[in-house]
Amino acid sequence: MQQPAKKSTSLTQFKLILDLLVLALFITVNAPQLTGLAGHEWVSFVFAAPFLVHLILNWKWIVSVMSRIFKKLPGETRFNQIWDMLLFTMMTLVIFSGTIVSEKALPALNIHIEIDPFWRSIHTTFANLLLLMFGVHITMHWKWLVSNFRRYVLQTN
Amino acid sequence: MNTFKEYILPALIYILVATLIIFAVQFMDQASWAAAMRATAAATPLEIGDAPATFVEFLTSLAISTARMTFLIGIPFAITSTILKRTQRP
Repeated sequence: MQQPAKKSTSLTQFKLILDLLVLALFITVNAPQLTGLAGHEWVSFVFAAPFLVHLILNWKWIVSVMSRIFKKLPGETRFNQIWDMLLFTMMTLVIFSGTIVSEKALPALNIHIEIDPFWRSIHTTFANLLLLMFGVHITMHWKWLVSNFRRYVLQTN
Repeated sequence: MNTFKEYILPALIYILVATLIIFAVQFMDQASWAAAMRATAAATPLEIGDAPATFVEFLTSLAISTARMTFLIGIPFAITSTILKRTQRP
């Protein structure tokens, strides 16, 4: 009966490494002054894949809370449910608006889209809002991050 | 079947939901306030240029990015932590 516990441990470990990667990429994407515009756009494309994997690995939680959307939920769970939905919406809009105002990455792939300043403005505004929301999201899961970081990275009990 | 149910199906659902969100917001740029935003943004030069070329530029950019992220992530973090400490049962 040791297999299920071992599988759960490696999944938690994988989730931790993935979440740290998502965090590092997210911070890099949000430092365009450091990376330059081209770096910012290319790193953003790279960010999309681990972000999607992060969502997939948390699918069971999402299904369990969404199936109880009209039922009573603990306050923290309800908050996370609503906040994460908003976060997903914001992330989608930031990625979409960023893609359609791409000035370096898409042209390098021979994809030329006429840049609409409206979407550039939306991208900047929503990206800043996303940073604020991300701070809250990190806090809500801070204990999980810290305890598993200690367990799997620092390897203390 | 498990791989499909646990990984591929969720990915497809996320992509579908994202597509619906994108479709819904397409109409935003036709709104009356969008014209004003468009005019302002068109007149505003792009903030981001090339990557820093010198060490001094790199340090300046690093300082700006660090300050921006400390402010935009750190303040919500601090506020949320304080609220959680007060509302969570010991």
